[in-house]
Amino acid sequence: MIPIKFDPTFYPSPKLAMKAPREKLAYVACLYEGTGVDKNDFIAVIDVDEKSPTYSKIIGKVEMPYKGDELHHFGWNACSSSLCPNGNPALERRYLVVPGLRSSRIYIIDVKTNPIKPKIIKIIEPKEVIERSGYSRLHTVHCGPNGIYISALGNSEGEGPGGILVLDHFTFDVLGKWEIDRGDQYFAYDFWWNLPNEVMVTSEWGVPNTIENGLKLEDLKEGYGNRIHFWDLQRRRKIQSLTLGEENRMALELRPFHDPTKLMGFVNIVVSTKDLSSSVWLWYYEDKKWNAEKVIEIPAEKSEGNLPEILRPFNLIPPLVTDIDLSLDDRYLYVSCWGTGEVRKYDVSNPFKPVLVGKVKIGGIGSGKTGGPQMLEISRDGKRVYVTNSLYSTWDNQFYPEGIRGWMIKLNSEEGLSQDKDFFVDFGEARAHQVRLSGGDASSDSYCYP
Amino acid sequence: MLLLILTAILSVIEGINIYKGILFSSYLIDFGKRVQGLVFILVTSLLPVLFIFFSFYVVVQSELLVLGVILALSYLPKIILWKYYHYSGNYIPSLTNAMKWYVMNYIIKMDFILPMYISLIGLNYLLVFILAGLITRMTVIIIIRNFKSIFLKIIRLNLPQVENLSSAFVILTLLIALHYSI
Repeated sequence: MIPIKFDPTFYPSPKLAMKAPREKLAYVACLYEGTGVDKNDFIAVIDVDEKSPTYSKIIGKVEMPYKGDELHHFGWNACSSSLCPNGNPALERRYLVVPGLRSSRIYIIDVKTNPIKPKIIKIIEPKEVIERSGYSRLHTVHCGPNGIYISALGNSEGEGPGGILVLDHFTFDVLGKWEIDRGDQYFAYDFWWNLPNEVMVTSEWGVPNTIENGLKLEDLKEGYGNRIHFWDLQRRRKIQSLTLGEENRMALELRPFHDPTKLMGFVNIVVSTKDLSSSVWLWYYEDKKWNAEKVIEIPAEKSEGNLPEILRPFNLIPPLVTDIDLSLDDRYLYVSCWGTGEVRKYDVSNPFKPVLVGKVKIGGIGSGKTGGPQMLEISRDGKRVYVTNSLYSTWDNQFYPEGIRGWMIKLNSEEGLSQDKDFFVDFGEARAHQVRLSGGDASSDSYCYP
Repeated sequence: MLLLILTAILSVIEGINIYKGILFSSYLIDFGKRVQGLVFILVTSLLPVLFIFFSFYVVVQSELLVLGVILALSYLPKIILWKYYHYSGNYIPSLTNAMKWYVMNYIIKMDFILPMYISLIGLNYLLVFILAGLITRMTVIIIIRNFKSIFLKIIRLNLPQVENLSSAFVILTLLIALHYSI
């Protein structure tokens, strides 16, 4: 069958994408790793249509055939980047590309045939990933201009350097390692790009051997990264690195401005070794070089006792900013504080001077509730923010030793920020990580037009 | 007259396909390169001229019908393998970059065969083909720059395939017309 129309979920610009119909389904990565429950991870399908009788319920799921994958981040096979002036518009947003962070296995899941009964159509085994790319422990997925890009935390031995591999858009074959000249880049985590300006930016967490068995305080000195790297997207060569404060560790989520004419974006720092604060940095291009400055700092809070073992030496609750997300109009930045249990909303109309305009408290360390707000996903119109509560299995167990029951909530963000009391998804013993919204969301698509 | 009309139709079909140059032109304008964007429209419309000299050296007028059938048949793989007839390159908003990737895809898709063939029918037909294409492209870019809702609708149409299918149909009609006019 030859389609007369291309994928209707693709939009040339973020402004046009904001007018897209609202999402009806959410896909959520759910995992049992670290829970003691001997079950397979799954992708849950959540009804997010307020008019539906099954609103806020799990209405479908696809279970992975193997145990221990640790589903984490995932993405689409294709997105609005296909509409770039010389892109390949023949693609369609049909498959979820779901890597296992612990297993390095990649699942290709068809959600078009029956969106509430997704089906695995291809499995790329870890052996193939490692043989063809040299990488393992797969993280971020982005639908790129010439293929599907996936970041990896390390090599097959669990050491560095981590990097990026590329899958073929049509066959999903592993094409190989992306970098040609990485310079001194060693740690890896997230990545994104500005397509018209041919710039990729990557961030740093730690290598698999450092992170997989839990956070060790002695590793905070040198075992975690604090830099971001800028790359020539075409020549696959690192062009500049920036250190985001010597005392800071774990530069994680990268949120470039969606407007491609703006060469800037945000990145979150999870922890300062000086005072356990978290921060958000703005990176921007000026005077023919990349620059960065701290624009948000969130201090640690005094504890009233009942701290997990890892925090007892400090007697403080760190905010642990582990995720940030930028609305499609580049106006609001949402910040999750997994430690102190807050979601914050900042007006970043002036990105150098963000203004706190909303705040919601949901759980947190010592609150007696299960977990804290962690992964964020904003709807394309910017009116809703979906939140889940698991970070990473072994780290979940350290910071929330009482255990985490997976949940997903919704925040109304049209005016200020408030929790929608009618929306609560309980995943039971499974933990919930990344959310992807049907048709796309604020962290899934890249645009070429302003 | 019929041949001229059919030639003009072929050019309009190609001109409406915004994936053939117009998108890049609009993109250049978005990045503040208005003149380059308009020059690019001219380049994409005049590109066929580069290929017509070649056609006079390799073919003779008497083989027009045979070549026409080959031309029509060349659309078959284009229709079947439409997804793969493309290389994205990169998206740097500059005129030279746009030209590089446009010409590259022009060759990959063998888009030069159609104007070559039309030039063999007669240079006046080629002139009609080029002018109709230029006017269509200019019209489309003015419309999509001013009406974002039309831009959104048109960018989502599978215009490459619409062009393949309708061109194949018009070429077959042209062949029949040519057969009876010779």
